[in-house]
Amino acid sequence: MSAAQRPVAEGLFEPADSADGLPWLLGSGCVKCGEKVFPAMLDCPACVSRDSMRPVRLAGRGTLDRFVVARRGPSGFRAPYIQGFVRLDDGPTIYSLIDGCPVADDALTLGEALEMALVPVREEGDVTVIGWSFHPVVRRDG
Amino acid sequence: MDEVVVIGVGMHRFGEHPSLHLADLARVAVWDAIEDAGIDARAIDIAYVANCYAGVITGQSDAVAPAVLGYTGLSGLPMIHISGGTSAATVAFHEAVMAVGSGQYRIGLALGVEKQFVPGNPARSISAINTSLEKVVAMDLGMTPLAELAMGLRRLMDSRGWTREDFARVTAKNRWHASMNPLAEVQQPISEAEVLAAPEVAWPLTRPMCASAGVDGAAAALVCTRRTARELGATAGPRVAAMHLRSTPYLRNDAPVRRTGVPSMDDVAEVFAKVYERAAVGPRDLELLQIHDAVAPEELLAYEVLGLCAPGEEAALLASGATRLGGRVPTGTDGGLLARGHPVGVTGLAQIHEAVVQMRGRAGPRQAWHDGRPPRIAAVQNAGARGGAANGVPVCAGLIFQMDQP
Ligand SMILES: [Zn+2]
Repeated sequence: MSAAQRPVAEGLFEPADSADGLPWLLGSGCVKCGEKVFPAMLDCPACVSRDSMRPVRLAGRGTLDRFVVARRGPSGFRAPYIQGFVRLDDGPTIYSLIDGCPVADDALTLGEALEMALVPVREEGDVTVIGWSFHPVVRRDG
Repeated sequence: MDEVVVIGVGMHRFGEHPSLHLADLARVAVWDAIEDAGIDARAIDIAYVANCYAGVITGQSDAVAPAVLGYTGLSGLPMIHISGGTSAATVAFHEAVMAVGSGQYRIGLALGVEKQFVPGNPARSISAINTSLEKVVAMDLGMTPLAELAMGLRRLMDSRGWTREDFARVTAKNRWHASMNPLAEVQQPISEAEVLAAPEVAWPLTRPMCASAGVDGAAAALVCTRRTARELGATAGPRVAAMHLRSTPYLRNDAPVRRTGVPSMDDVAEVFAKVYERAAVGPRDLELLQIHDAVAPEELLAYEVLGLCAPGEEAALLASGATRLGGRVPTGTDGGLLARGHPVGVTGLAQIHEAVVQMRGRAGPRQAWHDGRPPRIAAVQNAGARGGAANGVPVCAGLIFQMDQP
């Protein structure tokens, strides 16, 4: 890994509290209607209220909603790789890179449990950009 | 609002045009439209220019409209830039119709112009198209529109009984249509077997089942009220019988799956419920259809969402030949996004161009006929089948054109 690192953006995630724990995604929860969103917002899109959202930590744990093997990617990404959507146990469905399994169309089952890790997602010159990915609870990439 | 008609359309051939600038593409579409309408160019008093990627591809992120239109020779009129992904050109058309229909302006120009082809650097074309996604939690983490489309649509294969062979059939049909369109990006026909054997982009999609990223082009339309058209002696084209725009509402985490499970296509259904009602027509009345087939399965889903068939009957409708040239409701007669091409900021106006050309009986070998006459009721659907919430889901657009009997 190159020396310089930066997160994909500030305020999106936080490392695990303990060595065996999972990192957190930083979202918001609405004090009026209870909806949780990621990334964080101040105004609620569900009940459409001003300033009703408070910061919440969302556990890096969820189930696979859908995925696809991308055979080509934009600059900075090494194709093939897996793109997917993960339904977080804490509510929101979010986009994520998926790893920890072979890069194949039959490598994952819809609905299977996934866990999150903070990983390098791409290189930007000499800088490694850190984001998140999800992987099967028991990794299958040998 | 006054009744608005299309008096002229123009288009620059879609394809890889590395030696042409945005303005070179635009001037052909604009002047073709002016000559088609048979009006004095100085009578145009408002212009909307759709373009999505000049900022990334050429570095011109602001002043796109005057930078492009200035080279056509037009000046002195408001030139307004419209951006916003796959439906930008239809939004430009919508605004032009609103401007003249309200009586504020007399003749409106809607232009879509785009350069996406980057010689020797296909990843840069993809990166440009990627800017239609939300940046931080999608684009910067490697999401691509094509892959997002694929993962939303592949889930429908089971529930709707679609196969890769059906996708190949859509592709071969639209490529056959494009083989008769001298303005199309890809004019070589292809067999279903060749489509299936082509390299995979993202399962279940092969290369020809997806519109290509590296394509340039321009298309334009001129609109005014029927009264103005009469006063100017302009070419009579179809009237805008109905149009509607919408984007996907926020869906709560615990919301049940709506209609199709592909959020933006659920909104297309709502858009068409509205335009059918406004135009007082139904899906059975359509005699021509231009839909947003950025990937082949989108065409199948659109059949059902627009009410041409019941859920699960999409593949049977396709197989029946109803949506081929010669069928009841020929669809993608210019080759669609798959073959006519999909320079993103142009697509809606290319669809409108085809509808107008067909309704005026000027489509040459690919002319659609109904009882020995050109189509009189046509629909245009413009918007991608985006699946993610809050990830820059674009506007969904629906239009109905009607050609009144003389
Ligand atoms: Zn709320």
